[in-house]
Amino acid sequence: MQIKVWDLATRLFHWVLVLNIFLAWYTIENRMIELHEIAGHSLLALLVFRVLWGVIGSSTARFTQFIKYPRVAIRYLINSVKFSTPHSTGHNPAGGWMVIVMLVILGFQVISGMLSNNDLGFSGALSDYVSKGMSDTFTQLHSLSFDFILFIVWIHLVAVFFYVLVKKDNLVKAMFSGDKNIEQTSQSEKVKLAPQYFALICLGCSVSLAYWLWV
Amino acid sequence: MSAQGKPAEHLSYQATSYITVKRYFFGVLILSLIWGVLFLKGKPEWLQVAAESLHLTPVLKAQTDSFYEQRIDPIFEQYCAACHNDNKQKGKLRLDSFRQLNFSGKSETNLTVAENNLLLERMSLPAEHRLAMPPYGRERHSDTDLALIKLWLDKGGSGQLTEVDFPEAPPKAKKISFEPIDWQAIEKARAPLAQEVQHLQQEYGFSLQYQARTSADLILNSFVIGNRFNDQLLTEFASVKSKLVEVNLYQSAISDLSMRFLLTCQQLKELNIAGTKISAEGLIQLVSLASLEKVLVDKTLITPSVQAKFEQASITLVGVK
Repeated sequence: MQIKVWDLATRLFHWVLVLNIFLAWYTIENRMIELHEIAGHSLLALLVFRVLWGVIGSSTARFTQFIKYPRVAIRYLINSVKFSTPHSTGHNPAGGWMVIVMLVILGFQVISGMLSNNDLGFSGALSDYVSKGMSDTFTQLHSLSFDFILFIVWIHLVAVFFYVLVKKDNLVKAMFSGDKNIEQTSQSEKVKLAPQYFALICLGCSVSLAYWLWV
Repeated sequence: MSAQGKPAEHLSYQATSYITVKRYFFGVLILSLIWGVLFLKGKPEWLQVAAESLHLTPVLKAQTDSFYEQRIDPIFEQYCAACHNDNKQKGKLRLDSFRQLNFSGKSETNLTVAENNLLLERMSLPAEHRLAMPPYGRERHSDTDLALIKLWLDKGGSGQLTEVDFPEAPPKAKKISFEPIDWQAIEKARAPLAQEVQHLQQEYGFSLQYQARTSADLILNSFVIGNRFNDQLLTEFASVKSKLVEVNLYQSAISDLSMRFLLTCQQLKELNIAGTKISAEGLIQLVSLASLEKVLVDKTLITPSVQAKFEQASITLVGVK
């Protein structure tokens, strides 16, 4: 029997985020700075959306649901390779921290991008609020932090495929369909899906902010 | 339901997969190593530093008297280094030294060989081209600069060869540069007399001017006022006499009475008193002005004795008909 664990908003967020990171990389690699800026502001909208959704969204998307003490997450990781961890309905304790780290690093990437310039006429949306020297420093950091994003993505993929290949718990499929086999969920964790118009409100707010900063 | 009334948890994961934890993490390790190698391949500077630290390779740098340092580096410094330096590294490329040039940047191609040299290719593109370097709108190198880089690359892109090894290279162009103007210093130098100068300029128009935009020294010219410019009027400029370096009183109405004023102009270098009522006796007094270099007077006033006295004082005396 299948139950819904990931709502449409969370799933769309996840896959659009993947696409968005790829687009941001592709556009800068091919010197398409205007499109890169759009990709960056889209990323900002996504991150703001996820933060709002983490407060008022469905139970599996809420921060209060998946943020545990770091020691719990570490213990979970150790027990996980010993196959002695229970199933989680939403994010497991380690996965929860992965979400937070991702949001922080991507958030830094977006903000540093908005503070940077390319010396060829492009200035990020917030670059006028800092000195040229500071903007140059953020341009450097913006470039450097991409290596951290790659590293985090790699760790994320290693963890996900550990579940898919070793634990036979197909998290990728679940992130597409939103459904999980009831045997692979936690009985004590009941899913409460938030109304979809909540997601539209969050999206409206986040897109408005990103657009306002863009224009 | 459990005994405590809580819903029972499903069984934890079972190790039933063909891919065991060990096998999986071994695979991850292999992939991570491949990824790490690819990552390090993009960081040649790290590898170079490591090799130098272990004394496996000599320190990578160009000799001070090398052709690169003398002729190539100034080109990169002028047109490229603003964006390809330690602080910016556009395209992960630095062109602020021979060492950094060797690390190539994002392209990971060898930029010190002539064949298919990406640097040369990008610098050879038309200025408007999307991939041209320096980018459109930036100060651009000359064809001579490009030829010089090509010549250097043709001989191996070395940091050791000196100018002697490049006899065919055109001689180094002389560089003329100007000191930047320190406007604040000029304003500061003008400040003590600024009010007086402004007042006199309002009163007598173009009679009083600064010697140049960059100078605090003054020029007094009676031309606009003509023969109405007399001894009395000259004293009106007493407040600025310490800054007067040129005074042109040609065909004005001044007489020997103005000598008292002129002899107190300690910075005066050039004086034109032709067509005035100044006598030979008055003229002779000017030799005591230490700063004076040139005096224009009526030819009739120049006698051999006057001439001799001015020569003795190293002042050029010019006779005007």
